[in-house]
Amino acid sequence: MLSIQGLKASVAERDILHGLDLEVRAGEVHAIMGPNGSGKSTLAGVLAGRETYAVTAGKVTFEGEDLLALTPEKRAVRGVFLAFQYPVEIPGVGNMYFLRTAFNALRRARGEEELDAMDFLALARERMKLVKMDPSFANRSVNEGFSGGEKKRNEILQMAVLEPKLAILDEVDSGLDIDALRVVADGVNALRSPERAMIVVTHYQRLLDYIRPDHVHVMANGRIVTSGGPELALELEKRGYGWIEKEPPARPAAVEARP
Amino acid sequence: MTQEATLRELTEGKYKYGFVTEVETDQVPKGLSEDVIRTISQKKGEPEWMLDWRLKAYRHWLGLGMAEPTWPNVRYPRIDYQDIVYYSAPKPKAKLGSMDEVDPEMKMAFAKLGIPLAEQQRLAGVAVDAVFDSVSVATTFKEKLAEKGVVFCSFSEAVKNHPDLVKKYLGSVVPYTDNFFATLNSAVFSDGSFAYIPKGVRCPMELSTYFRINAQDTGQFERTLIVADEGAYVSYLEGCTAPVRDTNQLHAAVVELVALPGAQIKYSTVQNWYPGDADGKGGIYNFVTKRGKALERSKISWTQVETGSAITWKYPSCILQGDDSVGEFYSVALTNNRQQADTGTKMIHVGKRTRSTIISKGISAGRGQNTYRGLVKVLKGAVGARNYSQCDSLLIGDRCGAHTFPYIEVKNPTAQVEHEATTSKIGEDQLFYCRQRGIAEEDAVSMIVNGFARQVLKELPMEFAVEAQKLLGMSLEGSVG
Amino acid sequence: MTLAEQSFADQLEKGAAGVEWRPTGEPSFVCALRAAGRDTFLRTKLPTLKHEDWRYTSLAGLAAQHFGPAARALVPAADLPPAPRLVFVNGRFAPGATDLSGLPTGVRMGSLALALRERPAAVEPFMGQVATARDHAFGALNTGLFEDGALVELEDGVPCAVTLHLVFLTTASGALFAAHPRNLVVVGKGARATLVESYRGAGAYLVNAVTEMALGEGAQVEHDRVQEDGQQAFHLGLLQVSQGARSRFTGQSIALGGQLARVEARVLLGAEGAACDLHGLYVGGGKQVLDHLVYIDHASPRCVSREVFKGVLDGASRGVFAGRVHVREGAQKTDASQVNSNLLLSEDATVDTKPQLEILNDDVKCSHGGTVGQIREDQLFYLRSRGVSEALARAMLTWAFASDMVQRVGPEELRVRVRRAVTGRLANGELLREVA
Repeated sequence: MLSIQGLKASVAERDILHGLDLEVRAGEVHAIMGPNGSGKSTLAGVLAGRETYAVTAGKVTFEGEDLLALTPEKRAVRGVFLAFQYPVEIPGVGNMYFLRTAFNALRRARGEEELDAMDFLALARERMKLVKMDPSFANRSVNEGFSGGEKKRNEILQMAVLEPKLAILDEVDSGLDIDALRVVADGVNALRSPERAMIVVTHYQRLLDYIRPDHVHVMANGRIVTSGGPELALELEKRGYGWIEKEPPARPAAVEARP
Repeated sequence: MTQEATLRELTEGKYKYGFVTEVETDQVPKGLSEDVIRTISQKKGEPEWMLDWRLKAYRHWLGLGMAEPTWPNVRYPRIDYQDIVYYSAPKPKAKLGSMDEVDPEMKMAFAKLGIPLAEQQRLAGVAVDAVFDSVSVATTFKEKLAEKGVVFCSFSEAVKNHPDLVKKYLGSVVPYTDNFFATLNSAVFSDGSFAYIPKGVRCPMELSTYFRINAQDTGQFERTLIVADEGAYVSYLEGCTAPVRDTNQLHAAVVELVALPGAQIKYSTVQNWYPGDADGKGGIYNFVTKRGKALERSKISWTQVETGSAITWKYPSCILQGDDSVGEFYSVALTNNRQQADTGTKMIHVGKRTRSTIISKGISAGRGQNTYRGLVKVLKGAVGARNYSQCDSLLIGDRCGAHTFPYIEVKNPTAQVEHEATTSKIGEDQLFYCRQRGIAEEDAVSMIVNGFARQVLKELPMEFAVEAQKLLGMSLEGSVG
Repeated sequence: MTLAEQSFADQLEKGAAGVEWRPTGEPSFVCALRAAGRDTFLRTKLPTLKHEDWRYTSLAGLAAQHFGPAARALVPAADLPPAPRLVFVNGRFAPGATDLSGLPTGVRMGSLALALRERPAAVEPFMGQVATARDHAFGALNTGLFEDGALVELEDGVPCAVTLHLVFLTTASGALFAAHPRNLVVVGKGARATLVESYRGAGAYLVNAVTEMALGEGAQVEHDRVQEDGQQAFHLGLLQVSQGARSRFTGQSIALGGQLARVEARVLLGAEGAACDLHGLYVGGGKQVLDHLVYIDHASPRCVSREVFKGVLDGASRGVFAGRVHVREGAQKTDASQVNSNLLLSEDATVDTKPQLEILNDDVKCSHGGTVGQIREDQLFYLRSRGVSEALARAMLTWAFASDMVQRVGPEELRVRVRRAVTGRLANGELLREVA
């Protein structure tokens, strides 16, 4: 589904990604872990098309198409969804109105019929249960005055409504207490399916107790330095990231896996 | 409206009210003189007192020596007041007996603007006075309003049929000596709307005037007077458009509101005069004086959405004369391309415990220049006066300007006045967030701008709010990317 | 012409003819500046209420007076600040009261008039180059008529740890006169300084001071301006600052004296990354008019400006604040904020404020605010319910409003002095001895 080869990217002329490779197939859940500053969020931003990042080398294909050539909204209608680490507030724009606009933009791009306000509300209400969201959220402005947990739940709700093919969850666990974390994780798990791939970016192993990944990759200095199964995350939990940075494995697994 | 249609409108929809209606007109020659004023007055069959008032204003205007105000933050070439047609009226085919006799061309023109003049086609609950160039061509639902004692008619009719009311209140809020443009208007005003809501009556429907400039080289000088008697309530809407022309046209209107004790007047404007083209050619000079006087426990609320005109110079104000009176001003002003707007309000606190709220949202795009100018004045006797002002500016693109010029004058120690303002550019993060969810950039901008303006838009009557939202999106066309 | 305008015009003409007070041997660039100042003043004359910058402050009282040239006077008894200090009396240098001990190497301070005679080349690149406000009547008048003032110079990289004091004393005598002190402060690249301008006096007179300050790249200056002129005096002050790249200017203006006192701070953020932080406090009583005009010119990218001005107005005093933040085209990433708050303590006190923003650029973050209010009844009641007398409670709450501006004053001994002066002017301020 997603193939990343030799990806290099920079922000304000500072190189962040130094040649990153990753293959993601439909149905898989990949966890990307790594210390602060290792480039995890940059990767998420580059995949979604954030313009502050400049891609300087490499290729990213999504279902055979050159993802990097597409505008952010085109990527979204193709099925790429980013759950933001810091969801932005948009004062005055209603939460439901926003979501319906996005939903119908996606439907339209796929040649499907748009839903009117009533039908959409019914759909959204049902999905809101998934993340135990109070119906009053519908009437508030996008993320405005939301607590950290509410913002993250709102991201998962959007994912549930927009039903992406590839969901990139950028530190959905940051700033959450254990109850909120469980709600978010339950929501994510309910959306796992054989057609959908997920990339879960996180600093902590904790999240992976709730969202069990198929593959775990560890990033350091803008590269994937080692890859493995869920057990890798446990090892990281035990030994910390210092181990990776001090003695990086000679040949990263992801590179070996390259065709 | 489907998203697709919205999108099309956003990408292709230039100024869509730019058509010209071919009608035979009755015009006075260009230029201004006592004779022209006498002619206008005569054509309207006015009584002597009305002509005298006009002439007094004209003489005062001559005394001002062509000295237009120079303090607004707008730039335009000198206006030649002798090169303007001061009266232009569509020739009636026959004397109008009923709505069915309105010139079909005229009906079509207003239908094209989305203002059907036939009552059965009209959205229930809105009575319309349609003003075409210098005269009112039709007023709907008159009879229905008359049942409640509400008078709603053209200004000319009011002069004939309700001279006592007109005499009593004309110039009582905006005297003919008020300012350069108000004085000019007092001398040459041709028509406008008049409304009177009797004691204790809640006006059963929204009153609305639709202003249309059609003829070339004409100025439009309408005059609106609304009187809400004790305890009455009225909501009044005003809309305006003009054809695309490459010369500038002058619009100098005066609006006076009188809210007697306990009355409430809600006055909403969606101003969409032709703004000129992308290079600043053509467009309306919109130099308007609007003011309301609020007596005890009354309330005057101004809401305006200003998207049109090449230049806007407009300060809908409240004189909070009576104790416990309330003034409100909600404004969205958008300037794109070469548009300039200098707009705001004055809240004059005279009575005790008077309260006022100012919410102003300025949006600048292209090379647009947007100025908020506001005065909050608390006089000595205004014990316990309160004001809250918030003025936010949103900038789109790096060649536009946003200026905030508040003036606060407090002469009573028990007053509490608070002014807050922010200026920022449209958030890159917000745009990216919307686009990541699949919303195209233009739509995202329109959505964020509407969100920014929401506090004001929600003050508009439903029907107007929808139109205003569309307008904001349309007016921003071409400002991103 | 008004009486004042006439009296100034006469002196300007005489000055041009090289008679009377005019210092001899001035270099030609000063003569040219003086001539331009004279021409500007004769053209503009005194501003009236029609002038946007003077909309709220009438000069009618000043205009009706005749002002002669400043009289020579002995140094009055005054508690002078610690050395190093320069002292001026009625606009003239007072070497006897001046004490330059402890002045670090790399820092020079002395009489401007002397420097103009002895080493004009040091002054020429700066004088009249910083104070560039067009058609500024009082600035022009000062240029035409100044006799002396301070010249302070810091060499590149000098971290001056001691506070430099400039003291301007004025003593009224017989006929009404005007003094026009003129100061120039040149701070080299990366230099750091704390500078205090104190204006004090008694009786009726006019002080029309101009201070030009040029900050080199990376320079850091803290500037405290404390105005305690006589209650019958007219005080006009123009502080004009030009900032180099990444320089930092922190300014405090405390305005207490004068029947009419107007201070203008005009700051040019002329190079990338410069920052200024301006604070002000005006405490008015009687029929005083205390006026501040602050103009920040954001002419370069990535500059930051902060303004907080507070007014406490009692009696029949008037407070006036006009702030203008001007963000020019190309000044990307500007960050500006401006706040003016006022406390009205009596029936007849009034305030006029216009905190304004003028922005010609989209990549900015600007905010401003203005408030006018009075002591909150609930706070007053709370204090009284705890046994505090109403008089003390009022004084405490007033002090609470003003004190953060006083705390901003850097040098300890000055802060104590200002605190005493401010509380001394508050109604029942003597009750505050403990809190203050």
